[in-house]
Amino acid sequence: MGIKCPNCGGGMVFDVEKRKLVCAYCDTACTVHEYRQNNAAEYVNDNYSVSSYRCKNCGAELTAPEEQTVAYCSYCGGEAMLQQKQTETIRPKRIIPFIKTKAEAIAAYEKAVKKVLYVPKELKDASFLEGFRGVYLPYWNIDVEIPPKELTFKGTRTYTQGKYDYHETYDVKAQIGGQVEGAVYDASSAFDDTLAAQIAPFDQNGSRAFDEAYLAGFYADKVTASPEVYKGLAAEQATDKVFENINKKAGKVTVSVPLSKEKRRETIGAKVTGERVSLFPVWFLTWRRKDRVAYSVMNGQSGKITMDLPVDMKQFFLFSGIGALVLFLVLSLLPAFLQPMTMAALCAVLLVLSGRILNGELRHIRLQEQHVYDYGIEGGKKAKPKGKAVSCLGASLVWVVYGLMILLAFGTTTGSDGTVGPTFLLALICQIVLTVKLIRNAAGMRNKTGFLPTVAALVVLALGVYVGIRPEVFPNDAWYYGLACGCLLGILLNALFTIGRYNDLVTRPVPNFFRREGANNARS
Amino acid sequence: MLARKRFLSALLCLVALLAVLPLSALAEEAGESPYRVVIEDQAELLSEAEEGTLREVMEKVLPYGNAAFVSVSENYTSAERLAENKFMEYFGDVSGALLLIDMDNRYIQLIADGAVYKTVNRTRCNEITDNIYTYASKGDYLSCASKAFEQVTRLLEGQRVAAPFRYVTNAFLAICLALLGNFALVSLQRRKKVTPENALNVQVAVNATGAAVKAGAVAAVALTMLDQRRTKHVESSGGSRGGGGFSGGGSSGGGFSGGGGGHRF
Repeated sequence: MGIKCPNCGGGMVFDVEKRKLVCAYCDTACTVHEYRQNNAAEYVNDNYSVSSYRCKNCGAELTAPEEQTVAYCSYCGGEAMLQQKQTETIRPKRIIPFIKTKAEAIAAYEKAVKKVLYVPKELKDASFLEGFRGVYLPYWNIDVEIPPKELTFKGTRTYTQGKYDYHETYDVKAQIGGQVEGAVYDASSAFDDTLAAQIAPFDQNGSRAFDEAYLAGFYADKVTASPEVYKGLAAEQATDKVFENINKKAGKVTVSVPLSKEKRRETIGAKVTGERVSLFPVWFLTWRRKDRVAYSVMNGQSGKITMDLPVDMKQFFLFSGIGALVLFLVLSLLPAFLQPMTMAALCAVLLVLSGRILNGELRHIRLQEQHVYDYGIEGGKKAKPKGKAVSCLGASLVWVVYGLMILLAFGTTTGSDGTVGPTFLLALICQIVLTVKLIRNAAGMRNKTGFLPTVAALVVLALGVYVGIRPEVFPNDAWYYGLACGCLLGILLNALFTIGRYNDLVTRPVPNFFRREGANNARS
Repeated sequence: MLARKRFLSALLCLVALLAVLPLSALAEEAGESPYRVVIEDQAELLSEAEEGTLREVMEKVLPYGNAAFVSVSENYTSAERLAENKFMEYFGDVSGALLLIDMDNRYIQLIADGAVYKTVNRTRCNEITDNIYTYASKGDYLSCASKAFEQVTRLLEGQRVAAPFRYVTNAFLAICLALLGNFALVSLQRRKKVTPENALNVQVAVNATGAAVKAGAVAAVALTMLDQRRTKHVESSGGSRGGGGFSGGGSSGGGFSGGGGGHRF
């Protein structure tokens, strides 16, 4: 599939700035349309032949036109481990050509990185930035049909006018029917759905009929996610959209629409009628350190950029140290005095809060490592969405408990020691719940962590309960200062662990596409 | 010549006398401080000898203000209120410091007012009582009161009072706050609008706003009213309604304007 120069026969590449094919040897330039007038493409079926490069390290596959080699893997950053073979892949129907050049990608990256603190120097290095690579990513366009029909629902409206409240009931008749065309979904299991969403949207009005000539000088990712993964979602989303439109058109009348997924889908009867592949342009930069990778990805059409930026821990701790020194001086000069009991109780609340932050981070790392929200990977464990009401109730309850703890802690400012025990007791209960969650999160993570600060917190809080419920046995302030110091030590441990694992959150584990099933389900 | 010598000697003596007289008068003035020491040991915590020892310590406060030690065995108000009342009773609105040992509430209270309060403020009073309450717990009331006034004097002389626990907790607090604050900054800067949880929802939104969903999916919605009910509107009785509440009383003038700190023992 090599694109040969009509003048000298040399290889041509697609020049983003000129929007033309340009010969690397004799500078001959022509549009893709002009090129095709003289070199008609030979299609025999829905597939076309490409050179496929499979990374021996992570299993990711990239394709490239003939006479164009892939030096390293874009997904894991592995070098010289690529296995080449001729293969056939699904012929895309549409392609959005690159509009943003590599220079623009580098400039956008440099501008964005300048605003972020503690970025490792190597991520700003000019030679590293030269690693930006233009990759066409495959997306599924899924069509959904909404059969024409008339639906009837009940509607209500309540309002106040003058001295009266009005309650009205309505019969709502909705005429539905139509087509949802080309909803887009990431078709590469190697490309994370989160990254795809972060650089969305692509303007499909800028797409062209697919021509291999657009790929000259670029790489393309293979279709590895099955359309079956997204078909159900596409129908569900089209159904939701229809109900949303019915509610919008009903104005102030609240329409009683079915709430369960099954009932909604049955009512609308949305059906997937077809799917096709489109290629969208993306600038891709990979950074690797040990078993972690970080991606910087830019939408090659709109220039929207997203970056995984790890933290340079040396810089971070240096500036934290300076900040701590300044804060110490400020706190020491501050004309305020907290009773040791109050300080101990407040520190207990802070300890639980810092534990919550650590646990939240570990949860996100687990979800990321298990690809819970990445639908393109079929082998990944998928999340079961919680009901909104349940999650709202849970969150409210948690904040009520925290509020109560803070109130109890401030109760000690009156000189009463009766609230120290209950504060520590509530904090201990919260910490036990956090410990259970931590064990669950750690079980799903590659590197188990977070146990030391959790155990330390449990010990300090349990001691706090003991001291708090028997103040007559522990009248000396040293106990409360000791408890405050213990809690602060626990907070420090939580903070250190949270920061220590933060780079795991903003980077990704080196991928392993060998064991994923998505690739096997796609046609190749 | 001799007469001249005598005259010069007499003149020098006069000059010397004139020079010394005002100095001695000044010295006498300095010795007579306008401030005083008060010891009212109602609870009989100190022996006479101990009172004498304490008085010596308290006199060091006199260059700066009054000094009072009060102990009570019965108190029907709070220790702070009683201390303020006693201060007003003895010194009015003149500068000074008062230490109260309230045996009824098992509470020590140190308060200051006027020029003394500028240095020995509420925070310092708390630090001092925090340092001395253990003596009271052990029944060593002389040490408790002496140490209190020693520390007051030290502060008034421009020195510092050691508050080791405060510095340790401040150090821990500073490290934790700096780390967490810096971490919050880092997280905020690196926060992405799209989280893994809402990645697909974002794609849905993109699809919905793009050309994907045609408006024709819902052609029309017709509403037919079936029923209308009307009820008298009842105002809810919550919220910000209600009469004006008590907004605090103003001082009738000349009250205690200082502050202090205390500690149970």
